[in-house]
Amino acid sequence: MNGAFAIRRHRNVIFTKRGIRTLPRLPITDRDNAVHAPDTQMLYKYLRLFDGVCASHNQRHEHGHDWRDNDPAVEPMVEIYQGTVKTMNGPALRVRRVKATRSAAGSRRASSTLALLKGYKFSFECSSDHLSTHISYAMVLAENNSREAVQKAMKLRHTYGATDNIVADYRCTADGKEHIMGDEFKTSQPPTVKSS
Amino acid sequence: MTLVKDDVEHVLGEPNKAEVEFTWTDKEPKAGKESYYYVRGEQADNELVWVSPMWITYQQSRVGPDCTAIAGPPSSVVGLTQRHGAQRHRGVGVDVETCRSVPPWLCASVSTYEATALRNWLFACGLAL
Repeated sequence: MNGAFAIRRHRNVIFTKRGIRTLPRLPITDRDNAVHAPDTQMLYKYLRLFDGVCASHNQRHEHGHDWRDNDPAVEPMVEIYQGTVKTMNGPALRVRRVKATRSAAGSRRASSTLALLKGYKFSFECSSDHLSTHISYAMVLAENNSREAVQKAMKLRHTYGATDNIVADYRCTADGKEHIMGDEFKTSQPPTVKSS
Repeated sequence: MTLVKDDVEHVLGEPNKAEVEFTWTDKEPKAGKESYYYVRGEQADNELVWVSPMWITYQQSRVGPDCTAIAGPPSSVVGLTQRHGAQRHRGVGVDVETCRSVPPWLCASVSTYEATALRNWLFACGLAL
């Protein structure tokens, strides 16, 4: 996983192959601009060219996302929790309680909730960023443990996040077909979801 | 555990055990609207899990009185849809969603008689192709 650092817009990028060169930067534009960010658009093109994916991260940090841009083909995930934030914000319990009630929100403008309400579609994952391993889990529901299968599952949004090794299952059967977390579908019956 | 639908929280419960299972039905789905549903869990030791959303659009079945009143589709349509893996729907004998979603290839792969029968029946159901 490489870090694509941008003031106010952070994304982690993931490739199946090593050796893909780091993307140069374009000038940062004002986050209050209602137009697309050229730097982010270039990142999406780069990811499409080299078959990569990315996840916006650091939602709660002052660098948090402005959500001007989203390309669901190459940005299928969002970092819903980052372990490093715990080290920046004090006791884990308090931080986690805050995150539990605010859906890892951060400022409203930067929040994943805002992006979901805007209609963006992405799955959740947790990342350690720095110095915080074993408290941030990016769970991937892949067909096998090859790099290609893991990335395919990420593109399908078949991921979830946790602060511990928690196994979760989330499904919905609609018109005789079973769907899992990350899926998008229609149903002729009121949705009934099962989680365990 | 909490289910979140379109930023509104629905508490599923606090089972206080290691393995839990919940089933939740949306009692207020809005026809034609896509909603996201995700689940957040918190353990007794404060560890958290965020299970990714599903985006679900509830489409009310369009099978109404006009459809059921005609006592089901012609036998040729029943046989046609069964051959293509369709499931019986409300005893009418055909999966409306299947008919709605696959007509182009379905109609191209069957006889003119069967295709005509299917079109006529769907038209009677208000599902004209």
